[in-house]
Amino acid sequence: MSELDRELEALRREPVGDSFPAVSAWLHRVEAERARAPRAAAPPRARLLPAARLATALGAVVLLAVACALPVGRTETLGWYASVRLPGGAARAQAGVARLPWARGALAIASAGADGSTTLYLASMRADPAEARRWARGLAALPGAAGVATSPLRDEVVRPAYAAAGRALFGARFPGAGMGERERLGRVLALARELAPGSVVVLEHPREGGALVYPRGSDSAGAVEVTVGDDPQVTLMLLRQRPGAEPDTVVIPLDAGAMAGAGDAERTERVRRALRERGVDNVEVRVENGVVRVTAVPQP
Amino acid sequence: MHADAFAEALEPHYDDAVRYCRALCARWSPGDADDVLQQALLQALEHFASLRDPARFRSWLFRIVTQCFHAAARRHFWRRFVPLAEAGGGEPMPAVLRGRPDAPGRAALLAALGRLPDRDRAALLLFEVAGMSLEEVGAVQGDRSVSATKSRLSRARRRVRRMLEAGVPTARQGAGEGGVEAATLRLLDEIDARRER
Repeated sequence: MSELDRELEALRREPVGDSFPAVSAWLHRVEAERARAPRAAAPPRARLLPAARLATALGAVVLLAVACALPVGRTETLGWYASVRLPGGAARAQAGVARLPWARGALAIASAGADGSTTLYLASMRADPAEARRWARGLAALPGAAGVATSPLRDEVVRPAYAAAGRALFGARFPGAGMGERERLGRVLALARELAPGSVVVLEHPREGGALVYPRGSDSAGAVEVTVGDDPQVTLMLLRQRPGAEPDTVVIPLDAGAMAGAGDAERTERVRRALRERGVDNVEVRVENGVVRVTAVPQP
Repeated sequence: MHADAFAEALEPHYDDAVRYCRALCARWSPGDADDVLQQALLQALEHFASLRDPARFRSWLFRIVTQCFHAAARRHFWRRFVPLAEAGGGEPMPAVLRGRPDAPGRAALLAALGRLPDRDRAALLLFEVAGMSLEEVGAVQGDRSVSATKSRLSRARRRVRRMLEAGVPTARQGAGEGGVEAATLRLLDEIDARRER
């Protein structure tokens, strides 16, 4: 018999102690415990996974149904406007409104009425009805003010979730989705222009240190005025309309300090040169008493 | 009662199952061998009703012990990398091997068995300790033929015999020589013994 055989024989005969009664009793207790709580004794994986899978599948179906039921677009309030009818021309109406401190940052549109009065629209880029109501109270307090009203400026935009999904999946861009301040301003302006077609548009934007000019295109005889004040960071923003194309934006920084110290002729020349350098040559520029007047020239 | 029948069937084979489990887990501490035995007994108890032929209880039981050992071996590997989670729920089995030192003179055999590949060690012990036939060992091991099982057994016996003749270092000797693995085994034994106290 080899040493291995002797070792294996000894292993087979090795006493293991008297542990069987304790183990047997333990087995009985385990079985009793399982009988009391059969579900708890089942492996958690077998018990929980089907329910979790079912819940996940149901959740996915519900989400899909909700996504399919929701319209892609929605009407969004981009801003508010307050309108007032004031006696006199546009310049007088604007001068009256300019005394109101909050109107300094507003987008103002003046529409000449047949009776010699001027209807002034003040547009706010903040979708805040409380601000519009405050404006209406201020306008109503102006001498000769009548027909004060407020109304939201609303536009159809793609829902942010759909826009984000489209951008992430297909790199698609949707107009109006995720608008920045500048785009919002452009859309507010476009909406406001529809309020008073053919009107003289005066745009002030001193809060951000800029001004906006919107020439009315080839068929417009309207003038666009920009007041160049003491703001050192005046920006002339021009939305240029080309036939059959979306309006594009030309931003023209002007040195307000130099403009303030210059005469009307020099100011006119500077603005004209700045516009020409950016390919805008279908406008007439005049500066009178510190007000830059840009008038679109009809295209042949 | 289900447990009564199972305990009655288990009793004649219990000692051999304990010896087999300890030798199978030769590389591990007695506490780990206890864990394998506990898992095997729980599984056997749970599936006892599905055993159609009571005469095959012994081979069925040793097959379960072997499967539990292989599962534990896989977990044992991952224990090196992931923190151990406390085993949740259920009353632990009373200590069978834990805290009980191996019989004198058994260390050399356990050390030699511990150096065999897991499948070779299981085959040798199933044949020698569990008393299974070559066919039964082959079925448990998943061997393709009896000759493959016979070859595996022969190879295992030859290697253990050589190691015994050459005097393979036991865990205690290995620790004295600075063997990290053996020292770990000894440390685990001591931790288990302290837990028992």
